[in-house]
Amino acid sequence: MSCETPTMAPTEALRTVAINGAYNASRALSKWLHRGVRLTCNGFRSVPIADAGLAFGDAETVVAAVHLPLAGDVTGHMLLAFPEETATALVDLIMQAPSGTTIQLGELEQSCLEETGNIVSTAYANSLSKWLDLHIEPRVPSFAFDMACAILDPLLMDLAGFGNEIYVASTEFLLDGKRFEWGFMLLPSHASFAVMESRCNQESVRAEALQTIAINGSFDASRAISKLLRRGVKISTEGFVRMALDDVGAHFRDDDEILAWHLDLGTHLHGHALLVMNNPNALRFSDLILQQPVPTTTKLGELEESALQEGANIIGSAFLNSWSTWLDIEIVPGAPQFVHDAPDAVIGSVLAEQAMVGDDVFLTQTDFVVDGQTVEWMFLLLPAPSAMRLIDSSLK
Amino acid sequence: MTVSPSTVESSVAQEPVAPAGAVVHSIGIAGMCVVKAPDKVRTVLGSCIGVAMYDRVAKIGGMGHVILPDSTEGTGDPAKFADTAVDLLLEQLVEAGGVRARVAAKIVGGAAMFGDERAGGLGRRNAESVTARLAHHKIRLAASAVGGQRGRKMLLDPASGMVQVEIIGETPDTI
Repeated sequence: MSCETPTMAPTEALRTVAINGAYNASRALSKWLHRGVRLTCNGFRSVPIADAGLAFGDAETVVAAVHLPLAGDVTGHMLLAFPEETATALVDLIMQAPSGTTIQLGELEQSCLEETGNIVSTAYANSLSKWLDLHIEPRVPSFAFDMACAILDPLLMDLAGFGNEIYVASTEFLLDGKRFEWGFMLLPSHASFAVMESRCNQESVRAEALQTIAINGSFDASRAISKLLRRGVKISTEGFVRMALDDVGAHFRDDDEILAWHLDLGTHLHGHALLVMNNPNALRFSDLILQQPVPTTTKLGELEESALQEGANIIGSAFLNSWSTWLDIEIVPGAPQFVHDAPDAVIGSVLAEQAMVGDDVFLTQTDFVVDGQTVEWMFLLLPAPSAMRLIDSSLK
Repeated sequence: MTVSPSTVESSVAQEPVAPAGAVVHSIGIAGMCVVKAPDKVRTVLGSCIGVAMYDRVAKIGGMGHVILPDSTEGTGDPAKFADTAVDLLLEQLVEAGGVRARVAAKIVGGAAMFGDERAGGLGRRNAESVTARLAHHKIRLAASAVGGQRGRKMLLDPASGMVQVEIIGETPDTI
C-alpha cells in the first residue's frame, strides 16, 4: 500500500472518544427526560488545580451536585452539577410536574437528581468503556448542595497528588436547543488519563475515531439536505475506505456524461469534495429542490442548475463544517464549480494527487436514500495524502 | 503589602467586607497569600483545610488552602501539602514583616462533603498534619472549625486575627 495509513493523533482520538461519550449520554438523558437534550464536549483539557474550583464560575456559586466515584480500569470522578433554580426545574421535568412546582430539594428530589447523575454517567462511561476496551464503572451516586469549590475539594484530593494540574472533560447542556446551566465533568486520575491515552495509541481506536468523524459528517449533511428538500434524506457512509483507483465512480461508467459539483478543500487542507449524479438523477434532484412533482424537469436550464448548486452547497458545507468542528481544523474551501463531462474526466481530475503516490485512494463515499428509496447520487470526500498527514500532525 | 504574586489567586474585592480601599484576596485550591491590614484574605473549603496565620501586632496575616496531608506522598507545588504549606506560609509571613514569636494560627474545613468517609478521612488527616506541623514550629493553634458535612467560607482579618466562618444558610461564626 503506497499511501500512509491514515490515523489520528492519540489526543484527538481521545477527544473523539469523549465527544462520543457526551453523545451517548445525550441520548440516554433525552430518553429519561422525554425532551431533546444535547451534551456538548470538547475533549479533555488540563487545568491548574487552583482554577479547578472555578469550574462553575465563582468558587462560592451554590450548586446542587451529584458525585459518582469511578471504579475499574479508570479511577477518578464524575460530577453533575446545577445551580439551585435549574435543579428544581429538572426535578419538575422528571416528575412531569408543571414548571415551578418544586421549590426545595428534599429526599425525593435529591433521589431524582441522583438518578439523573446515574443515567448520564453510566451512558458516558459505557461509551468510553466500549471505545477504549476498558472497564469503567461509576459507583453509587451521592448528593450535596453547597458552594462549588467546597464540592470540588474532595474530588481533587484524589487527583492532586502528582503535578499541579488535573485533567477534565467538561460538558455543556442544550435543552430543546437552549443552553442550560448544567455542568457534567469527568475527572480521571493522572494514571487513568495515561491509560486512556495509551489505549488511543492503538491503531484500531484511532482508526475508529476517524471513521466516526466521517459518519458524523454524513449525519449533519442528512439533516441539512432533509430540511432543504422537506423530505427524509439519509446520507450514509462506512467512513473512510481504501479503494482501487479504477473502482471510484465505477457505476457511472455507462453514462456518457455526468454532472458534478466540485469543491477544492482549499489551501489549508488539500483535497476535494465531489457530488456526482447522472443526468436522470440530476433532473430528479432538481425537482425535489424546486418542490415540484417528479418528473417535471426535462432539461437543466439556468434555474435548475442554480437549484442543484444550492443543494450541493448545502450537502458539502454540512459535511465540511462537521469535519472542521470535529477535527478542529480550519477548512476554507474554494468556490464551488459545476461541471458536465464524461465520468472518467470528472472523477479522474480529483484523483490525480492520490494517483501520483499509489494505485488506490483513501476516501469517504456516501449513499443517498430519499423517502426510503436509494438514489444514485454520490458524494465523495478525498483528502490529499498531505491532508491526512496534516490531520495527524496538526492535532498532536 | 507583600503578596507573593505566584500564589495570589485573585485580588478583586467581591463583597463589602473590607474598608474602602482595602482588597479582599481570594485564594483557590492549593493557593496561598499573605496580606497586610486593611486587606483581608479568604477561600472556600470543602474537605480541604484552610490554615490562617497572623501577627496581630504587625497586622499581617496569610492563608493557605491545603489539599493533601503529606508532601512525601506526591509531587508539585508545596502549597498543596499540609507540611510544606505550613512551612511556606510561615516563611512568607516572616518575610512580610511578621514576628515569628507572635504568630498564631486557625484552621477551618475538613468536611466529608458527600458523606464520603474516605474524603472525610483525608480531611481529618489534613487537619492533623497541619496541627502537627504548627506544633513543630511552636505556632499556637488558637481556634479551629473542622469536620462536618458542609462547605465553609473562611475570611481572615489580619488586623484582629479574627476568622469569619460561614456555612451556606447559617449565620456566620467568628473564631
